[in-house]
Amino acid sequence: MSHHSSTETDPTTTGHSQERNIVVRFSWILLTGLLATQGVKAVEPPQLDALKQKFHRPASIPFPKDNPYTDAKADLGYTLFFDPRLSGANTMSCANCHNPALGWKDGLGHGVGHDAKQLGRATPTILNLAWAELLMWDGRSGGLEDQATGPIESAGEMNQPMPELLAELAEIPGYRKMFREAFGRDEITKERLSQAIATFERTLVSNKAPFDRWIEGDETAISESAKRGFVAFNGKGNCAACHSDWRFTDDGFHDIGLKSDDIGRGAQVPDVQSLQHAFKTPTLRNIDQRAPYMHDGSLANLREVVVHYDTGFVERPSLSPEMHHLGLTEQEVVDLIEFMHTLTSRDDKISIPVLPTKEQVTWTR
Amino acid sequence: MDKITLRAACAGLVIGISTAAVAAATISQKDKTFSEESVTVKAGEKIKFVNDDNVTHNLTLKTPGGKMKPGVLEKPGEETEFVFDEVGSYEVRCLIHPKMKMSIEVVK
Repeated sequence: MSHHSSTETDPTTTGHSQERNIVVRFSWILLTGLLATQGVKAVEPPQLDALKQKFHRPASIPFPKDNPYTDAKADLGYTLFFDPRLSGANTMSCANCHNPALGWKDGLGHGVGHDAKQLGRATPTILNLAWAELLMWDGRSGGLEDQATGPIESAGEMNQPMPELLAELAEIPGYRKMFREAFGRDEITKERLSQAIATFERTLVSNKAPFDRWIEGDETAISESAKRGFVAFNGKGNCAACHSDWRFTDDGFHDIGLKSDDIGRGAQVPDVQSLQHAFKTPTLRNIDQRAPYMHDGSLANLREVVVHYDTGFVERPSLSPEMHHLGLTEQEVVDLIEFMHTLTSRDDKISIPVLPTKEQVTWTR
Repeated sequence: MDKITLRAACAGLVIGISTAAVAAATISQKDKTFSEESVTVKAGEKIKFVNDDNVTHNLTLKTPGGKMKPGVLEKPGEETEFVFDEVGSYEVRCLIHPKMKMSIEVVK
């Protein structure tokens, strides 16, 4: 048996001719093979236990060395996140689109920006982003600090020129106090604004879900159907090829064959075929709170999502090699959906902050 | 063993060799992670990248001069060898899975 790796580089565009050898190796993924053909009862406990280990939650939230966590910074970020004065018209806060009541998105197929105009893609959730790398559906943002001010300044979204915003915030005594407490100085800068919002966003972590209790040993935490769904998710459904790790995302970019002219990551990396029509894998944590689905909001519910992966995708050169026609039975579709419901946690309630105003000379929280 | 002729986008970077020379290092890709965070090799030595994962990866190199070289699609079970002729620091990433990254120091 022999087959080639393929290259995505145009060999005619360069001046150096080289050779490349590819040694094909046989690779048997025993567990995956078993899961592809057998149900949960047929999978031996050690194999199932090994699989569960891949989805254990981390013990703590990672914060970057150059923007470490402090209560004051997170509190400032929380206040800024809910403040509509961050938009040019003073009508839209970050929470307008990233609504905690709607899974930190907006329940819409496409986001809505400045002047109530529809945006080109769905609003992604901001849940569990402390572990993410390259943000936005097309990965154009390097991290939370970079992303935080993007929508504020975007003319189509919050439409707020940064110099105006910084001046506006500096006129508010309460904000000057909060920036001083967070950064040691009153001066309000774009960098500090983004660091504060990013710090708050890193604290948005989903709580333990029934699935977590199951992999910790509580066999009653999820149904037998959901357990079969977990096996199908990792086996026949091949969902875990991309929806991996405890957040159920690889933070990767894949063309999953949606019928759309939007080339996603391909606009950022135009020379790589597999990144054309590719979009960032979203987390599946609390996924049943975030319909409609996909970057274009084109799938109304989880059943439509499963059917898409089974038979609904467009075949084209950029299609992810992880996409296959699955041949799922109706019971397997039901089991997969049942399993995804077990990923939803009852999260801590988020209250809306009282915002500082210009009239408040003394701002206390 | 099949041989494919390619052209490299970056001066000083040679992709793959056809001889039976032993690689100075072998890097496994498993669970969407490189087996090493960093390795050091001498100029002219080669490094073998083995896809021990069950998903496809797309290796790209950022040269000491800052140029990006996309991308070698590597399916499960395949391996690719790179020769590093230019002294300096390279960054290796998977374009499909950006969290996969490692560095290579090439010394004289």
